[in-house]
Amino acid sequence: MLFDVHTHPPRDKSLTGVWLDGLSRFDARALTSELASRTAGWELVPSVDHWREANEICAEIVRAHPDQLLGYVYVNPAHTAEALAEMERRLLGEPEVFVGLKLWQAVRCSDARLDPLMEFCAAHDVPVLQHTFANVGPTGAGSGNAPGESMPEDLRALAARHPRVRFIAAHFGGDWEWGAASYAHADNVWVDVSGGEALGGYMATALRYVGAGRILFATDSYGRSVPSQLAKVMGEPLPDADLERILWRNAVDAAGPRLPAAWRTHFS
Amino acid sequence: MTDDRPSRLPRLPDPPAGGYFDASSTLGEWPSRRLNGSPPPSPTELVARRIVHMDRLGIRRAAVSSLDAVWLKDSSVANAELHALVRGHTDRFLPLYTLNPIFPSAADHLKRCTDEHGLAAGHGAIRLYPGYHVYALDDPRVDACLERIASIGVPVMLTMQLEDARLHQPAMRVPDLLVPDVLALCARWPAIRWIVSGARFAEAQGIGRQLPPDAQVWIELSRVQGPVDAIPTLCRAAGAQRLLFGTNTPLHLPEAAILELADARLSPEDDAAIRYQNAARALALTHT
Repeated sequence: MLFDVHTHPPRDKSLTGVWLDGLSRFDARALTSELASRTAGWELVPSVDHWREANEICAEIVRAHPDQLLGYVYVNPAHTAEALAEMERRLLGEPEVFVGLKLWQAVRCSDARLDPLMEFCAAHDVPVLQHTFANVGPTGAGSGNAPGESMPEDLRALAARHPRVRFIAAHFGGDWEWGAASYAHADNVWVDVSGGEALGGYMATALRYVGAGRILFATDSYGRSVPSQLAKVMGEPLPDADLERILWRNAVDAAGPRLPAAWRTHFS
Repeated sequence: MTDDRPSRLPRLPDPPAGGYFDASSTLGEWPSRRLNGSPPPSPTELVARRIVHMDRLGIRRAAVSSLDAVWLKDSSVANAELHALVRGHTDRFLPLYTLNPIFPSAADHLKRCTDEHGLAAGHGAIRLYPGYHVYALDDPRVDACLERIASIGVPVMLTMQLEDARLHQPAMRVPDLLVPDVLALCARWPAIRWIVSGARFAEAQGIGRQLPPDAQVWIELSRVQGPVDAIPTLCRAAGAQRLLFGTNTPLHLPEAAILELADARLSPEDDAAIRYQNAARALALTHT
């Protein structure tokens, strides 16, 4: 049994069944976000129309598979008023569909423009999945990032400003050694193991810096496979209790009280 | 591997009949990350631990190169060390000796492999790291080296990449090889048995789709870790007969390759072909 906190539907919707079957083979339920519109792919700086349409696509898929999927609302934090309205509409109006907020690469997450959104999340117990990745470039870790792409240190700063919000650090910071060091003392940040390759030393580093209580299983499927990401956890000898925490129990805590009762029962 | 975990916890599959032949693994240390524990074990201890780990996972035999050879300028030193380490374990390891074709003594290095380490068809292969040793695949020195390799009939493993280039140590950034360059090299030397190692899904798919039917080219799968159903998709694109189970241990976790293949839901024939049978043909082995 798995609780996968980070997935995306395939861009080619004819592959949706392949993706869902891939999750089912591992008895996985998943939180998902759509970053594409009906006419455009994942845009680094999406327009209001783009992310609204993405959320509608996400809602359609989740409504069709309520026992397997729950959604994240996706917005561009630069559109403060529109983003807050969408969060209210989706998160408060459709709690059976949307459970959290997903932020990608439009704005670095240490930016003050995120603060009104985080105040909403704190008030309504909304977990926040924030993309973080330290792409190596010519001047070191992070210098290969897109302009709005967050480093782990950006999320650490945001989490410190909003201690009542539960954050999920996507991809463990990409460069997971960099991420581990960044999140070691950020107690309201859970790290998700999604994306990237199953590299030697991954889980040992995560356990040493962050501990089993703040590690979340995740895949970034459809683009990544479930087995490759599961190997990051299975490749380390772990007590059953820690394995359960990482594979589903921590995710229940991170999702918080917004998690539907049926899901809570499933993972109890 | 037996596993008595509670039923709600996932488990590794039991080793299937025939086990696995790991077409791509390494022994040694890596400059930017401890891969074998801290402090690192002695080379002899490392081999002993690797065999235990292989036994646990059902990996009967592994093609293995020296990880140190990737960064040593004189790779012949690492080749000699590799030979000393694995010569007592030829039932478990098949040596892949590293050559840098543009190194001034590349010809001497190859001669040492044959004369001193016993390299011959069925008894090992040559491994190339063009990205790490920084040469173009159309460099005339590469062709000169390949002519010598072809004359002794040993396979060549061509390394596209060893680990995700986005995570490289900042002072040691190494680009992936490009699919058209790989295809051109393999086409230029059709008599050589090529194993393309470290390709990601899209690269493997691109290579597999464009190979002529009679090409002696195999694709090792250690870095194929998505999308969902990547291996069945590659079987359709390239044919199961071209795919090789590989782990890239210890840079990658071998559990990923095992779980990925188990999730592929292949026919028993295709599954066995990828797990170990294709390796025999690719590496000119009489047994795996």
